[in-house]
Amino acid sequence: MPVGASAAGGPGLVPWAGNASGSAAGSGAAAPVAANGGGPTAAGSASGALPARIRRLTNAEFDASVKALLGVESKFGASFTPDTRQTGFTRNDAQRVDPVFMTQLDAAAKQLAQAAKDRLSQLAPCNDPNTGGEACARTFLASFVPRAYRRPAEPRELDALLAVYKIGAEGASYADGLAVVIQALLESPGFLYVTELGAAGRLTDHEIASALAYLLSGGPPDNELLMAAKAGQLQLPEVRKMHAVRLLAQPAAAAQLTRMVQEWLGIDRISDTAKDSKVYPDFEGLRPAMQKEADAFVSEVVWKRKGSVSDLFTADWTPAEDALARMYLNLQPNAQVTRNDGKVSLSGVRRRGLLGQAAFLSVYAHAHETAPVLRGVTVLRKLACFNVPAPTSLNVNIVPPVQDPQKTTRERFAIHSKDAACAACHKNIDPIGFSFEWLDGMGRERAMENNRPIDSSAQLQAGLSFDGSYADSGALSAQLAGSPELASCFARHVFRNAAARNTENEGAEAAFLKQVEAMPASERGKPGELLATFVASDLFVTRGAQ
Amino acid sequence: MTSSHRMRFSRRQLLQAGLYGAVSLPLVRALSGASIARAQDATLKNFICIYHPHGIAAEFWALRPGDTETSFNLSYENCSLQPFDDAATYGKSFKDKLLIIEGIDHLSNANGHDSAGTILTGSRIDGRKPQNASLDQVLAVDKGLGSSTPVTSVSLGVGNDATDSGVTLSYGPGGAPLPKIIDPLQAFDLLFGNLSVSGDPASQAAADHKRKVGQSILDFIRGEVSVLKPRLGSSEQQKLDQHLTSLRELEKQLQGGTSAAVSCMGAPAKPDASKFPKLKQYNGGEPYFDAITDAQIDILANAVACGVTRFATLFMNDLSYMGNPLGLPPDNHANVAHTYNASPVGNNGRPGDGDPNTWLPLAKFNRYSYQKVARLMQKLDQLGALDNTLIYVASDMGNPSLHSTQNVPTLLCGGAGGKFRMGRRVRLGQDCNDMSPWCAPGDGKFVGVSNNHLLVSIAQAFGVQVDSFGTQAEMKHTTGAMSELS
Repeated sequence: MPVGASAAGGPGLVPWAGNASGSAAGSGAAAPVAANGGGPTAAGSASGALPARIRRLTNAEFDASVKALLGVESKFGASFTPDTRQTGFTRNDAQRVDPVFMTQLDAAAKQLAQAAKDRLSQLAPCNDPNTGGEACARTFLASFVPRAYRRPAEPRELDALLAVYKIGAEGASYADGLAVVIQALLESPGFLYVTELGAAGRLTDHEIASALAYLLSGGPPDNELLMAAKAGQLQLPEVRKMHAVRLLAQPAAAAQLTRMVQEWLGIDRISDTAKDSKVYPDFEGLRPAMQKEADAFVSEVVWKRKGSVSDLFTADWTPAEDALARMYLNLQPNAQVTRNDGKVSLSGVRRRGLLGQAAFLSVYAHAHETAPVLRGVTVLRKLACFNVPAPTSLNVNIVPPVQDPQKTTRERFAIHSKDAACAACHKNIDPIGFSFEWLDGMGRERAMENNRPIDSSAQLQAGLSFDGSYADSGALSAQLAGSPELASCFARHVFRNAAARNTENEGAEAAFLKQVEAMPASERGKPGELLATFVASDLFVTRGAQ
Repeated sequence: MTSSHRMRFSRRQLLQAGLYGAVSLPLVRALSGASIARAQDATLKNFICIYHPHGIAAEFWALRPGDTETSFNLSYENCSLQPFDDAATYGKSFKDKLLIIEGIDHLSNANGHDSAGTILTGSRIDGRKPQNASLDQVLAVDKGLGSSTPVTSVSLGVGNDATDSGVTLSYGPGGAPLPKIIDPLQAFDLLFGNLSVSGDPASQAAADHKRKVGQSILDFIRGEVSVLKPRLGSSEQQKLDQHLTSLRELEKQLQGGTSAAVSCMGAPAKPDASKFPKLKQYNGGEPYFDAITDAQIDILANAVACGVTRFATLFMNDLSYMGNPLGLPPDNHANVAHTYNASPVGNNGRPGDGDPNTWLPLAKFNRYSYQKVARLMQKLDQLGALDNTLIYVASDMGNPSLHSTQNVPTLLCGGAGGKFRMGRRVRLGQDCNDMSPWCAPGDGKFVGVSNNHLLVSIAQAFGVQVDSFGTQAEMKHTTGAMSELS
């Protein structure tokens, strides 16, 4: 039974076997299919340490790494086959070098190497390229390869690349030879994979530098980190913390924190959301603004203002563009929108924070109507880490309610509370979902549906700290924002993004939560602070068996 | 060629032929087929899997009164399978190269929308992905059946290039999803980009240098991967195994131009990109999906017929846009698939008349999907590659409005190298051995036939001796071939 594999364990599961010799490979503890993405993994958790592994760069990390290495802008990552996700995160253990990626990478590397040729006088100056090319190449490799690999290079590695240079320069020029070497490096495992292998259970200094840099800046380690690595200082928690704080202050960290929050909630999918243009004719025109709002809002709250996760849900302002702001404020087209330092106040309306923004409301809705179940399930799973089993695992046959022009969406879902089998889970899901009904499938306010009044009231009794009666999602979100469930669930997801793993590494995740408990209460909800805590912890630098 | 398969007719078949009045027709056709020396090579070579969305309107697909296993009507009004018996449009009827299977269940243990991953893996979807590699990859890569072609295997799609389990057919080791190529030009370049060879010495020398350089890069990368590999545990090594497979693939493309195995008379015509200025779903690509699908099909047929690849998958899409040529509502999902209100044949046996008004729109969409398959069959046939090809056509769901993965519409098409007995339709037993004909996987009374058995049969047809395939909680669902196929 391969360790570290996703939840294929559990008694009785029989992975594909050449002949059915009945080898029930399902050893290990039963792994219930957790709705939020996989059961516990056995690897490494005995010590509470994360298992050692290699991780392929995400597409965005590839572009950033190319830029840092060559000084050349790369948009190739964005054109590669899309990142595979785990729990919505792009930083994960699921990225692979498959044949399609390999072909795209090869083409990209060729072009990037050609672009680098133009900068050769800066990258690899040579006094006498015609007869002294090989010597210049050797010099170039000695400093360039460690930068590409983000660690010192071994003589064997340099020799292998020199051989590639010679073939590239044969019957061609010094520049041609170097272009081939650069292409090879961009396709090499040393460049493409971040290693977390270490020695004797601890990451090497250079691995720590890379882990820190990619986590907080989305790119390779800068010179300061590399120098600290060389001096062996990154083994010290306080030094790591110092670098974390330093990197968090830079603009690249804004993008990282924003990406993390958006991928946690799945609202980055607004880029791929479409609506029925008969039902929501304004959606397509406003969709780009929804995406921009989500980006600007999250960045402002968690990076610029160093806010906490609860601020994301209570904010009474939005940076949305005028057209979208008018939708929020129920204004006429062309009405004046008042801004204060770029922000529009929402104090006159009931929507607050991310759960009141069009990105969330549109992603978690159907093309032609709202989706109270999706909204309710997302809040429960992503904001409260409340287990909601999938109906198929319970053998329940889902029959989505047919459209009915004489009922509201809430009324059509009435069977969820009438049928005992449904109610077991839906008594927790539906109140939350229905509380959003005053906001339609693209996030616009509405009081009526099919000429019937909308009822957004919610009575939640799920055993959560924010159980209670609410007039609508605005009221619910205010309570939810300050709840311990949100704080702890957010911390878990921050960990899963930081550790770049899908499954609940129970030992490691629990260890991280303990670290969070030890943080000052006011800091515990701040994404940057959470990441800095992780970086400073032992968890960051220790690795268990693979 | 006189495959003993074709000459052997069971007593049951002879009796049936007699009983239903089609006394000697199927017999005569098969016999005469067997005695004519076929221009096409009839060993089973190629495997293509095609996905179509939105399940099936069973009322216009299922076995009808009067149909038998070998004598069935596909020409009744609104039958979604009509394209397979439409000589006027496709030049001939493909009924004799069709095997319709009713009653297959996909035990994905997931929402219907996440279940496409089970089609070729026979695996539950746990943690959002299947647990093992898909059959096409097992055959092409693990068993090496794709090693001698320039391209080991290819995954094509229309409009959607995500790798979620609900939109992916092909999976590498451990269930790692393989991306689809949704741009016909990119597919063309991958499959035919290396086929053109110019003769003059200067460009030959340049090509040789390019190849040598490319090979040196590949050798270097391979060397580095091999040094890294032993430092990893076995499950991590899977990642590098896939990387090595990808390197081999690139290497084949590099060497592809001189491969003797490729038997094209020059490269086929490049797709006309002006027909699809946009490619992606939700980004304006929808009106071009029909043209893209046709382009992908043409590329696939040529690639397979030319021996560029033997293994391919195609993930089709729908026509969810205003003014689509089928006259369907702009949201095919919400307003066609989800409005379908079935009678018992489409409802996994549950009683109730359903709403006939909702059957035809879905059947119309199904017919559109099957037209695409018929187009592929026509192209392959024209190129002499239909007889040695097996095409597995399925959706992710049976009844789409229930999101049910039971009774998923399943077709085998092509000549299948004679390994399966085509020209029939079979209806498997009901899913439940109980008075009430409906139950779900996991119920004690469930005796449905999983698609795993079909995958086992296909593997065996390709000469791979396995008796199980896929990952399920109970071995009975992964083990054993399907006797109904031959």
